[in-house]
Amino acid sequence: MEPNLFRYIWRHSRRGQLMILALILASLPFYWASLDIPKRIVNEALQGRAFTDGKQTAVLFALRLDLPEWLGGSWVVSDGVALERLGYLLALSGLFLFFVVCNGGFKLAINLSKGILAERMLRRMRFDLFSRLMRFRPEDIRVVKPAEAASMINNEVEPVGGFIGDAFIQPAFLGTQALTALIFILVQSFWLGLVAAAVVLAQAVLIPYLRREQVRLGRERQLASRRLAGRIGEMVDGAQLLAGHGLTRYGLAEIGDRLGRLFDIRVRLFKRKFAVKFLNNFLAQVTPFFFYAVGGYLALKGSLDIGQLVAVIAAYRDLPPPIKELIDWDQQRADAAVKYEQVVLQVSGRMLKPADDGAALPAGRIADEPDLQFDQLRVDDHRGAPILADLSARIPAGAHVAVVGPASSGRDILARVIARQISRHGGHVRLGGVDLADLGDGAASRLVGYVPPEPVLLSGTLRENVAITMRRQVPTPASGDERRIAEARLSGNPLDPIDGDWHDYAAAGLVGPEKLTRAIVAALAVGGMEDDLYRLGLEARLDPDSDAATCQRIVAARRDLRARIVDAGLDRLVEPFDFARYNRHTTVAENLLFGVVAGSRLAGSGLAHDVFFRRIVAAEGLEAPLVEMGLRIAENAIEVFSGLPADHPILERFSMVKSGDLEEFARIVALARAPSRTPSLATGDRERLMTLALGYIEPRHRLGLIDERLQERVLRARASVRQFLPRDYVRDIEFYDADAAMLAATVSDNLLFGRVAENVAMAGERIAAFLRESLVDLDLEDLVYERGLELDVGAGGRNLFAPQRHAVSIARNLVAPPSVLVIEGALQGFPPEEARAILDRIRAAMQGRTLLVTLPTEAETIVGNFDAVLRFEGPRGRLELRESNAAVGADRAPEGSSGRRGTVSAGAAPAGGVRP
Amino acid sequence: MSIDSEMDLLLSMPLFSAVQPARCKLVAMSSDRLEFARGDVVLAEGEPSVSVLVIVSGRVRVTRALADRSVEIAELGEGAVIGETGVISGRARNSTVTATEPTTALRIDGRVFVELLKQVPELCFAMVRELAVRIEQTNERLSYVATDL
Repeated sequence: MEPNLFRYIWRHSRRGQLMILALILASLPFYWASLDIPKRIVNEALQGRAFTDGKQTAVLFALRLDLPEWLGGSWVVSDGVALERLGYLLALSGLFLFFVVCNGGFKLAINLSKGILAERMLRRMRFDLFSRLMRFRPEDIRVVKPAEAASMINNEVEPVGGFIGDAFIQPAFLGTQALTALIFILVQSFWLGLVAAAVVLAQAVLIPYLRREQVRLGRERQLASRRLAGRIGEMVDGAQLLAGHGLTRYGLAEIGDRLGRLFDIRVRLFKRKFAVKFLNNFLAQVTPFFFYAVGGYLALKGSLDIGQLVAVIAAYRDLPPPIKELIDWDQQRADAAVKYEQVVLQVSGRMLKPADDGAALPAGRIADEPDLQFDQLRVDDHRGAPILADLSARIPAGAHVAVVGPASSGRDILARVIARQISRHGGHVRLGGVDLADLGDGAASRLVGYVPPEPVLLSGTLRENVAITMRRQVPTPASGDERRIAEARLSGNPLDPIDGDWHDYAAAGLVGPEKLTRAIVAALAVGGMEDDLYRLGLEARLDPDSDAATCQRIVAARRDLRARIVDAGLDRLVEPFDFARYNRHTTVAENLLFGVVAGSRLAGSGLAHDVFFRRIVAAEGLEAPLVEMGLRIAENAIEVFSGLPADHPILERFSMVKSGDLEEFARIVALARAPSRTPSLATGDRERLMTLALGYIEPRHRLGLIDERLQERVLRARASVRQFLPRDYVRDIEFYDADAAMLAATVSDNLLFGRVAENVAMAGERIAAFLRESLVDLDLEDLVYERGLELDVGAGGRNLFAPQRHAVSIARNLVAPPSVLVIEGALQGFPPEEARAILDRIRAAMQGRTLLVTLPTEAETIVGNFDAVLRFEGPRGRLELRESNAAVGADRAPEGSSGRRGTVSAGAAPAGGVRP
Repeated sequence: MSIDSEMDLLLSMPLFSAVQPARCKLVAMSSDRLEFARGDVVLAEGEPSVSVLVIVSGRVRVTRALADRSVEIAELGEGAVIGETGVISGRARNSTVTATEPTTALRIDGRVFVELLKQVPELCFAMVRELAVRIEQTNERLSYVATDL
């Protein structure tokens, strides 16, 4: 990236800058005229110089061009208009107003153009920085702190962007304006002009000199702020670690100290800044003193007329602001240059990966079944000691290889080199004869997939996280997209439309999007997530955009399923929604509504706050019982949950009580249970307790809080809700309706029209299994999967359990399988039997393609099934061949080694090999 | 039966006897209470060990498949804890448990149980003690078998 800010700006925006400069030059005559007219008003109209010698009228707007004789001599453009004195005055005043408006118009046009240019350049700069970061080699990107990078791209370049619009235009605009004013003063009075020029010169020399320290402090502030952002990011990431080791206090002290140092820098900066400002203001204000004193003296002596003095004073009024702004510009220039220099330093001086257009390799460059070959592969640690020593071997296409060794050996290093997670290595990794290091990310990622030990999930849905590896087909821009494309081109940003369909269906063996859901489900099933996905789908809400046909199918399926459930003898596992009965497996709120909350008004604590529902609850005598229920729930929660971490699994079960609320509930309970029996809790406290009660389900929470009497009251309240519900609540509640799809309810609620009994053993699993069978017949299976795939995985996949995150990581590599898949330690988090089952499924999915799996030394029983084993002891790898898989060959077995075992050594030439 | 009575039951069991009542209540609140009909399979051999069960009432039979026959290992009643070793070892269920009469059990999610073991040293120690007792009993049985041979 260009290290000099001005060269960067000029290279990418010179056309726009020149256009604005032209506009500025065009504005100058108008500016001059706006300075000159007040003088004419005073001299000609007020003092009457245009009406000397008893003239009653004077000619205005006469325009004659005095051209040389050879060009035709004088040419009268306009004879002007003869005006009396008052008319003359008003006409000149009108002319002055005209030029004022013109000047304002020029300023508006210049500022708008400048602003747009600045925003374009800011967009370009941010994109350049980000795209450069993305081209960092893996070793370099790993040491970049995410918080620092985000702060750099987002915050630090913001003021630089703001300056870009002013970089060339501001000095040109203000400089010409100041110069015009100064020349104007000089023309009126040489001495006053000299005074003004002297003050301007003093400002121009003295102030920048004093601001040097300010610039240095600014640089210091930027570095300290960035380090603070990075450290805060680290501490937030490691908050649990800090708490776990009791380091919170130390951590707080450290941040406090950093904030203190930042404070000191900022205070010094402000002191310097305001001192300079004071001097600047003083110089600007002292000049009029000379004008009044010296100018007045000259006027009294008659060597300066009053009109000229008024014009000089008016012109000087216009002089300090541009000068001040020019000095400010110089300050901004220094600040922006420092910031730019700091930011560019962060992304410079590193070897970057070649820019990648995401394209695949041209057809035919690599064979359909490419061999994987290592030539003299070597990786050294930062001290120069080998961590992978001179490995040469050839793995035929389609072989499944176990890479075995202790964690500190070359096992994982080899996996990372093949997966391009380590780029600084000696030797070559070749696939079908092509060196992977020569390929861009687009081509290489189609050939080699990698499942890392720690899965990386991005915010978005499950579907997006799995199918992300298919987003390689750049869609064609839609018509009507021209403005976006033109703007992106002007900003040096990508022209690709983000809204189009990026999926490369062919890579997944598909012809279009129709079977994509199936492909994703199949890929997730390899990691053992199919059942979880199905469950997530059943628990997800229906698609709010479901069409009428889908809704009809759901209602039809509901009736069919009910009959099937009864036939299968499973009816005791599902309690149907029945307006006349309390459903023990739904919350008190759902029972009260006989439906689910749809809008935001009644969500969360909204129901307990709502005036209408409070009235219904009070009318049915439910308020006191619900408050008492809330108190009992709060008491139990305080007793049991105090001291538990906020992410403890039990808090999911008692989702209506958040760990952060316990202190508040303790206050409410203490107040309510006080011996004095204070009669009334505050309304807000009562509402909080009622909110707890409204989320209660007896079979799940089992606090014994719901008896038949309460159920009857709730049923009466339910009838009242239905009878008296105001019209404007219709969209806030989705009532259970046997004859309609309920878009705000879950898929399960819609299909079963009831709730699975929580207290019957395996009821959930049995009903899920039953639904799976039945929905295949009813052709509704995909609906469940599709809803499950819409789950938001949360930042970093926090909404998923660790095995589920691993399943996603595996699935994204199998949905469009590469020629070679490397799995590094991704199965170690699973129980042994499950890991083995997953590995078997991965191998089945990768049949005919090359697979390398790192395994711990003790995994001997699994290793036996592989086509070959690459065994590591320290940095050296040793290839062991399976008798039935003699195709997988060490380049040359050393003398004395058995036919089944060969050392893969430096300098060995490729030889032989058998197919798996 | 409410959480309080489940807590009392847990406190009366050797595994949980040393655990503070509040922690015991936490265990109870973390669990599902399930009803099994006679003949229902409570746990099946070979399935993943994802939960621990505490028998609240009723009786269950523990069997294990050996060659082509099923061998009864034990019959357990109120207060018995089953499935905990599989959750700790991460291995699949090593036996099948069937309800021999209508049975109620508390099912504690395996992740919650492991979390509790980490957070409640008393429970962890009680678990270690229980496992140690079982190892001793197994050794004792093996020595009888060896003597018989």
